[in-house]
Amino acid sequence: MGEKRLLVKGSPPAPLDRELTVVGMPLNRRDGLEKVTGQAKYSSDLHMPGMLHGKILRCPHLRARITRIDASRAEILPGVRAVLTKENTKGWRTYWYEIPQIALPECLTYEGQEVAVVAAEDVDTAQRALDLIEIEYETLEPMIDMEEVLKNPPPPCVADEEYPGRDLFDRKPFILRRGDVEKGFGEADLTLEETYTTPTQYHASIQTRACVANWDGQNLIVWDSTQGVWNSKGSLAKSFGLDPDQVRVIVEHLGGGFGSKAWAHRISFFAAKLSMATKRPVKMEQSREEEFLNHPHRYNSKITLRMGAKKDGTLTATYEKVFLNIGAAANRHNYNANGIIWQTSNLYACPNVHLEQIGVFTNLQLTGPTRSPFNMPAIFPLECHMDKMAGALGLDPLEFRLKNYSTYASTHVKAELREKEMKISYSSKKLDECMKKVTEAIGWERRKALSCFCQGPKRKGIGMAAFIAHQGGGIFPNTAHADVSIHPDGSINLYIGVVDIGGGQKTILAMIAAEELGVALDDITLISGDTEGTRYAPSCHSSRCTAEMGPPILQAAAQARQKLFEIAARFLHVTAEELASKNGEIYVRSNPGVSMPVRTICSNIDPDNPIWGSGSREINPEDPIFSSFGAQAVELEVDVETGGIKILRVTAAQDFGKAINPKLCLSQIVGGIVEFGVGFALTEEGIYDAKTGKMLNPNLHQYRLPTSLDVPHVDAFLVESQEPHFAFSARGGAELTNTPTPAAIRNALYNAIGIWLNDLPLTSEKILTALRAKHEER
Amino acid sequence: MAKRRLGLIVNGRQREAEIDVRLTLAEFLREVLGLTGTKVGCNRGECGSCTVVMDGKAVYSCSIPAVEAAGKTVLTIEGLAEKGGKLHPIQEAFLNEDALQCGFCTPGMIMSAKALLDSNPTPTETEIKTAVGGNLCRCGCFQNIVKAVSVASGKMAAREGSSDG
Amino acid sequence: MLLDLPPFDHIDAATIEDAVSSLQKIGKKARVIAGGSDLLGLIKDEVKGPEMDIPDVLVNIKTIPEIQRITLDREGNVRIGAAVTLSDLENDALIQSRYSSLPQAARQIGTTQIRNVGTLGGNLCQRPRCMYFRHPHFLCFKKGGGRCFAVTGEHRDYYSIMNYGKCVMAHPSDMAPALIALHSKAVLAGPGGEREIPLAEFFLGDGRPEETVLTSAEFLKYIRIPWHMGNIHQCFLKYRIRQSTDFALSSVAATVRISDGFCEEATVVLGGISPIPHVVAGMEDLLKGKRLCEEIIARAAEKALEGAHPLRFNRYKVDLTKALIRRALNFILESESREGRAIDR
Repeated sequence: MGEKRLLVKGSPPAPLDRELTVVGMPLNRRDGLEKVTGQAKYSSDLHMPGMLHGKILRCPHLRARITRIDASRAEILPGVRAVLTKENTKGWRTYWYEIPQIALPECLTYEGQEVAVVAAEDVDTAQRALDLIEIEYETLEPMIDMEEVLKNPPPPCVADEEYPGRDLFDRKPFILRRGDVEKGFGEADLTLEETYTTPTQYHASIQTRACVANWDGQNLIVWDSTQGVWNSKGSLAKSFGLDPDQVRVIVEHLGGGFGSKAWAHRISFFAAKLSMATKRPVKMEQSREEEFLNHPHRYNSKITLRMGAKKDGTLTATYEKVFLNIGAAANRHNYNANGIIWQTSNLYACPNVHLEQIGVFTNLQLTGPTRSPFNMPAIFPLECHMDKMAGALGLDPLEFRLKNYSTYASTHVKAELREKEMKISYSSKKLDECMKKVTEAIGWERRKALSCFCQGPKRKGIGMAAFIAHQGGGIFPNTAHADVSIHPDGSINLYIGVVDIGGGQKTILAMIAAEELGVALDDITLISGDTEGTRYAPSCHSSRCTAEMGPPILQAAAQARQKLFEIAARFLHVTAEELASKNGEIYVRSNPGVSMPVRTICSNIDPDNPIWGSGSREINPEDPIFSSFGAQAVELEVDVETGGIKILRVTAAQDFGKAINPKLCLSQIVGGIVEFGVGFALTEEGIYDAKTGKMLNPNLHQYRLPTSLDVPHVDAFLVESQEPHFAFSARGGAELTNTPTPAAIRNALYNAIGIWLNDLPLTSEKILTALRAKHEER
Repeated sequence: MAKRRLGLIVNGRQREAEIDVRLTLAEFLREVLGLTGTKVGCNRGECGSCTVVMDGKAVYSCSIPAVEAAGKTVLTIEGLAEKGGKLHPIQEAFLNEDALQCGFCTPGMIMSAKALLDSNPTPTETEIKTAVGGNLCRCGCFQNIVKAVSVASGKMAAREGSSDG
Repeated sequence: MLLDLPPFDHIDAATIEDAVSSLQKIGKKARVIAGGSDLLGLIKDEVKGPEMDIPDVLVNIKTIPEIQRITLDREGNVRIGAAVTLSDLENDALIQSRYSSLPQAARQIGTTQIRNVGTLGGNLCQRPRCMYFRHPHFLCFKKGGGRCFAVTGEHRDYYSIMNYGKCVMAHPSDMAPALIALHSKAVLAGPGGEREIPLAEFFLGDGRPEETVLTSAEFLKYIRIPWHMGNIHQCFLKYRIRQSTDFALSSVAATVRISDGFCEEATVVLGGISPIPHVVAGMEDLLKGKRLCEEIIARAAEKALEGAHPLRFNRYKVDLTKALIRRALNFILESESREGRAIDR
């Protein structure tokens, strides 16, 4: 294994070498007060003097070409200040998710795509203006269903029709091979093949996308609803040909993102353009329907898995073919060519594999990062299949998984290494502990007896699933930075360009700084969520935040602390190296009674020269590999007359490294399971008209999120490990908690009623249909 | 555009304004009174983030024409804290039990809890879940929310007890 | 600012006559607004067509005191005003003591916030939940278009398994089957004064633009439950996807009068599976003079679904509905046994 050191540029600071007083404490989240009092301002809440309102006219067809557009009546409507169409925006591109897209093209490729944008004095006028825009479309044959689409070559493009990423990703299999899969199947005592499907999933963040943009002739400020102010800044600058220094992005509070808001959204670009056209601030807010139609969601999948194993449970071969419905555009952020199969390759030890992943472009809406993007479609089939294999072999599913446990990774995450067979250690892997913990907590020994439970129409079952996820960020070339300043009045500022998306980033990142400095959390003033005053920080998605920001924050805090120690050393008559700090006091390590308050030392800082400390993240090494692991077990009850599932209990264990704040960490585990996990498994489904491809349920009524009365009780456990590469061993990974939930539920369902269901969601309709079929077979 | 004079009590104060008849109560609170604590997540009465307490009952303010709130008493999140800015027990419990993450659903969630505890000071777990059954939380905080409301009800009962005694 | 609502006028009606006269004067472009839970959503979503206008005028009937009340008249009939909220209905002592199936139904409608504002009348007069009907880009029969999109498209949840013709939506009301099982009457206000019809005859099926007999100048005034339905054994069950918010995939309302252990009267009404609430024919003939038992309950459930001809993808509702019927009748059997034992003591 490579050297174990904190992932920072330059020399990492020495370990604190004392007990921790802040990190590891279950402190209340520090932005909670403004949230519970209604004082927290989200971009939807902002008003500015002279502000205009923007509205968007959207194409109702999946694939169409504008044959005529005339906005003249809209332009002259009193109160309208600007109208944008393809006529006056030629050559302008937006960079949503860094996807270069013609802003307002002639040829539209997904339902809801923008065809005109209006800014007016009030919303009412803006809406009336949209009604006055005359537009005619020639509708084109849309690509809807993946399998149907694959029967024919892709239709040739029309006019300026573009599918960004098509050349790279459309129908191009990415193949991972290891050993000799045919030989492996030949050696197997049991070979099983199944096909699984997972549906689309929508983020349904409670705050829809909203922004206010203001161009003052020289500089652009956007108060946005993005998970990454720095990513947004870059995209906006690129779109308008500005120097990045001319663009500032601010997010004070964000009402949920889950991947959907990881870059500047399309409305941010349009609002900025309208502000440039009108020289006034422009607010744009998406309706809930627009939110469903118009931002990238999770791709649906069809996955065939064939696995072979010996009688004793040893896996000998794995074949997988993955089809993903990408929608109308892809880039490396919203489609990873080997994202699914990487997990199949690495979760269990299998010497012979042939794994293929194929993305298919269609005219469905764009797809993009959705909480555990690759993990959900990857883990559901794999963990379902492992249970079916175990069942056929007569082995306990937990024992079968442990039998094929791998302590090393066979496939790397780095693009240039992905096709090579490797044997690289993980920085830490406690998946076996996680699996044992959850099964012990659920009462795994009751599983066999429970499958015989029968009380009227009720049956009970227990099931489990595990997962692996790539973790740790550190992607070149975006280096995460952090800065700390200390001032004579005792104030300590932490400058980090991150957005708190609800995961408690404002709290835990400040806790890292507080611990390293030896002060209380409340002593840290946070400057965050703003590109002014901070340096590049990653968007809070892709499980990057803690993993990428922790080390530079620690480094910056340590640097600032050491400079403070140099002042303190003079007063305490020792060298700086002999000092330590804790609980707001600087003390002599060998004689802790000799100390002075941090504040007192601060008063000796030169007011013209506050202390500064800086930190920068190093990119991840090739060795070791950083991954997150976890397992869940589910006990449920099924009503065989109604097909209704009631989840009685979920146990979950996750290996995060160490939790900076266990209270917030446990909230993440539970939160991910009960919404994105249970919803995907049981109640959520994007429904599309088969003929036209239009989304039929772009609303929160028939796109069904689990309510308080639907969510199960979760007992969550943190399995901790040492991770010297990360600040206080915090490898992060709170995003991923929803990953194994659907498979665990499906496996418990089998335990209860003896039926393998391979297609999510597990509805009454599917269960009753399967039960009837089983009954008729007899 | 049809207009009408509207008068109602919001957070203990009489408020008057002439408004467009099609303004919803949520828009009136947010845009006319500037009380942006009440959120609009769907504008269809489906997410609950617009929940306020009107004449003692939790309602979706996005689905009530403002003119139909004439003469009524409305409480929003901004009116919940007690004298001198002291947090209401529900607010305090939400903080301590970490019953929030992104916070966007939180004002509506707290107002549903407030309406519940005012009419049912000792609710069961099912009654709490039913009271917030119309408030979506995509961050998945329900487990802690139910705990927080339970803790708050205990605190409020203790206060009642001690003030009686 | 979202301002999804187009301009409209809003009138507070002081009396029934006031409201009727406004409706009569303005015609099809006026609609009554009670709770507004359904109406405002339809307007915001621009659900319209040649046979369905977006109203210009909303006539508020929550300002009419006489339809906000639940009363008991001299003959012992319970009258529930159409503008009574579902939460008031659920919590009303008189209703709870006599008609336990009504709170059973009311408490499972929507969410707490919806029940606090939504009314009985609104629940009975609500429009279908068909996704095509509610989508502005699909012009279906109900809106004055030429076809039904659901029959060959998406129809797994809120769609019929029986009695459908050219339109396959299922009526989404829960209060309707519960009240019809109690032989309720609907009292309508209109230009001709008041008229009373059985609630079972209030609904219209088969793709007509409206689901009820109300003309554009009429509205529902109150529901009258006949005095002799007090103390009948009753049960309402609903099955849905989520435990909050969702409409019924299937619902069953059953009333059975049992005397000395033998059935005298029986009514079973099915909801969520037919364009109008479906009164099961022949239920009383099957059960009259017999004791409820497992075998006869099973037979009743089978018989009730004999006429079912589900759509391609909602066949599961047949088994589901049979299960709910069995459970409703079992509930009645068990409550009757409990009472019997209590009397014996």
